Amino acid sequence: MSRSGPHFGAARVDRRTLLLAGTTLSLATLAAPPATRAQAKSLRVASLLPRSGFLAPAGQSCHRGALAAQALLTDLGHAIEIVHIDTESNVETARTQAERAINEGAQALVGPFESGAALAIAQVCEQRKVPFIVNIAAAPQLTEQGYQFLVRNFQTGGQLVANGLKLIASLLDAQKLSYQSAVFLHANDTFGTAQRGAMDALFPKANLPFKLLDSIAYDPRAQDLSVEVTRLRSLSPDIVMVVTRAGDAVKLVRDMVRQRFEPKAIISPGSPGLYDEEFFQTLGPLSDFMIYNVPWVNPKSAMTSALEKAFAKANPSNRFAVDCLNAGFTFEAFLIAADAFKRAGTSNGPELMAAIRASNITEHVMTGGPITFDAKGQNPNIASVSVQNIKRTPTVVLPADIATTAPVMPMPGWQGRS
Amino acid sequence: MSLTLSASVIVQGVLTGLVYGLMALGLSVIFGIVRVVNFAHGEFAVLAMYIAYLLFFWLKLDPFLAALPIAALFFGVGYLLQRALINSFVARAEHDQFILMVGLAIVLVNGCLMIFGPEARHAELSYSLDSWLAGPLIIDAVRVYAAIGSLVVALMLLAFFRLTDTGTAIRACADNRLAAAIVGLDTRRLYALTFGLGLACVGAAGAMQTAIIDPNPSLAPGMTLLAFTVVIVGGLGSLIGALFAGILIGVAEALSSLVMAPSMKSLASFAVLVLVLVLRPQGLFGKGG
Amino acid sequence: MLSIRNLSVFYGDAQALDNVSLDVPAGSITAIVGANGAGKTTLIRTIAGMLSAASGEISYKERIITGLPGHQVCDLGIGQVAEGRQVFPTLTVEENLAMGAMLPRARASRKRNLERVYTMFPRLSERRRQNAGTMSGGEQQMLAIGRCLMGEPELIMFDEPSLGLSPALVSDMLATIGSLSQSGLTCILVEQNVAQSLKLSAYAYVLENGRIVLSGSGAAVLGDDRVRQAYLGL
Repeated sequence: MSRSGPHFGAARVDRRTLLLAGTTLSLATLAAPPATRAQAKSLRVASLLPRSGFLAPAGQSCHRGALAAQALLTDLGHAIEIVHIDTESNVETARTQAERAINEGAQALVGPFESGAALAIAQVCEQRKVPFIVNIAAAPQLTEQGYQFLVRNFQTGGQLVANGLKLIASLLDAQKLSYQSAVFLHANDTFGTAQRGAMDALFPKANLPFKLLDSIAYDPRAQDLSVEVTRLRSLSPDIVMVVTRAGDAVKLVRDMVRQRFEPKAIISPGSPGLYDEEFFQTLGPLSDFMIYNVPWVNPKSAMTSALEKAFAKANPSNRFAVDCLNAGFTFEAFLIAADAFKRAGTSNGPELMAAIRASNITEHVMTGGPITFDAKGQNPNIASVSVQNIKRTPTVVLPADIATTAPVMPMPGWQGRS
Repeated sequence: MSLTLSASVIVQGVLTGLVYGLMALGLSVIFGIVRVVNFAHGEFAVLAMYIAYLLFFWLKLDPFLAALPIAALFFGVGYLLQRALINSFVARAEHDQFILMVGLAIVLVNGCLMIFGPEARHAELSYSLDSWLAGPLIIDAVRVYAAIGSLVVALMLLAFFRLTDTGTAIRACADNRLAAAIVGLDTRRLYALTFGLGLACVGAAGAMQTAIIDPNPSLAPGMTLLAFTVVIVGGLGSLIGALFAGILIGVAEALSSLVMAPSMKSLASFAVLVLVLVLRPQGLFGKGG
Repeated sequence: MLSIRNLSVFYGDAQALDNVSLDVPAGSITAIVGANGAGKTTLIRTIAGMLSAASGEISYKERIITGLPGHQVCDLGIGQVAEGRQVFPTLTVEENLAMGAMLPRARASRKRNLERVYTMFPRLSERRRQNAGTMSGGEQQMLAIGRCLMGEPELIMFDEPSLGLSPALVSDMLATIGSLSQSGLTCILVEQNVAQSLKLSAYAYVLENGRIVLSGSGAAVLGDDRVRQAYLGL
């Protein structure tokens, strides 16, 4: 059954099964006597993800990574037991579920894809002295507020934009293109507005060879983006830089096609939306040639191939290439916990946390240096790469050493694609 | 700002506004006659969108054609709903009616959530990305179809109220409820017909919207709010008013996102609402007093 | 033709009609007089099926109609010209008249009835395209009567038809009712113009605080001292 189809029967069964699984797990947890926790042979880690609600597509994508992580980490000889919990795209639910997870025996927490929920969980973990490993969340303050029990294995919003802009320059260089102008179009939610702030601060210093004509904010929940595109079209920039969220990326492309607006490049300096399965399924050939400069799995790493296999086994109907950012960072968060547990030999919170902060993992999946954490708990070694949709598949096009193909620029017109 | 740019934005605003008008017409008809505020209006619109989506997905039925059977279905649903449920609330206090309709809205939207999930669905028509060049303007095909469809349905409804006995009887109920009872009009039946007609408008509008907007349960509250804004600006119970106000708000939204920021769109419709409430509280086409 | 036995009606806790019994013979005018709040309008609306009775029975042409919904009562041939005329203000005169003919009993003969009403009230014919709300009180009263006639009633209940009309128009109005009665219609007449209406009526009831306190032929009731004192100020 196709993903875009109405598979509501399956969805219902799914939810009930999950609920049942959740109940069984929590019962099992309750049954375990608390005294055995400290000497446990395996580490119990709660996975807190927005698997329902408006962030569900991304949350589910992360969840598929968590499913693969359980299998792969066990294969790699790690003793880890993952408990799956839904935060329902709701900050309050994230907080209470974090409390509950710890009460029921979780010794480390992983999640939650979104900065608001991350801040809520961080407070709980700080009080309870339980390590919290952020898989994806870009708000800078997460690692600026002195949390002792939090580490982040993801770029901050500023890093995303800075790296994203650098890669745009590299793309133009590599293709020997001289584009004159760009417009920045961004969603006006928390993430989009933060990216706008970073763009305003960083663009003037980035010394790029093109002019920024305008920055336009839009409501990602708007029914269509026709007026936004009309305005964009009248500015007629060579490059459109976008910070999209999910479904709004589809609306954006549709209105560009309808209004026959064909910029030379559409590039995201670090945002989701352009590589969701929904985007490919809905737009078909029109989803091709979008470029996004984001952290990505390193296609040349051996562990990436292992994760890809585990992913395929755990999620036979999903594409790793599409899920790999979410799934990859979620996997790495569990890897960090499991690795620290192995070195520390205990699940005691402060000791485990010390081990996590001392991580130095050279063999992992995301592009960049070894996983380490600075004094603030931030991994400074995560690289961004340029990824382009080619034949409905995200394909790394830069940097050249890990690229699997060369970028296609300028973007071919909308008509006559296949 | 160039003239062409303004012109194309205004055209888009008018086209979108006509669909807004049809949505609001449904609400206006029900309120103006049954005097029950349908707080579940947007939820019904979303339900229609999902049905249109399913008909398209299963039978490849074009949403513009699906608007007909969906309107008929919604007419029946509205008729029965009024007879079975809402009629006993007509004479009750407004807060009772409010709770009934909000309850209905919650059931509808969560039903959609349970069945379809939170993700948006896309009905990709062969012509959904078509557009026409009209001089320097580019006009989206689907928007033109939706606008024409809305106008046709609205005119049919106006003709029904002007030209048929049943339509006149419904207007008579709105005009003087006591008199309607005195001359022996079957007001319960007429109210049920009216509720049915109101929902048929929403059904048709929702179905046609499917060609432009992706159905998603979270759209519902915004649609209810929009319909209210349009009805209040146009004047409670005025059908022409609803249609006109729909266009006005469509253009105001489009222009504001051009002149200010696109994220200011809803600000524009509320600004129009506040202006109207201050300068002409009965609405542009409302009766005085 | 219409007979009411032991009818009691309540508005919440307040009793509006208390054990009322009366008979309306066919082909004549029966007057119901009484002070404001005596229960006259309540009586008419209960007969019309717009209010429900707590106890008692209403029968029309040997058929019990208590509890029938209003539109079915109308369709049996019981028409009403209500207090305050109650036209449809934003509908045209002709639309108002058409609304009177929505009853199944009157649908078929609508054209003929319309012509009859226009002949009877040429004024309405002149103003057929005008909105009813823009007409004078007298014209609206004509419209209310015309609209009632469109339903081909056999019994018409007039509730204060002369209210708010000039003295000259009051006489016209009562003359109209008289001639309707002569043409064979049965009428119930509730009026403040006690003297004029009792003169016109074959039979009369006096209603006080929801009870019938006096009844008899029109002339007899008009001659009663209590009536002369209370309603005629003599």
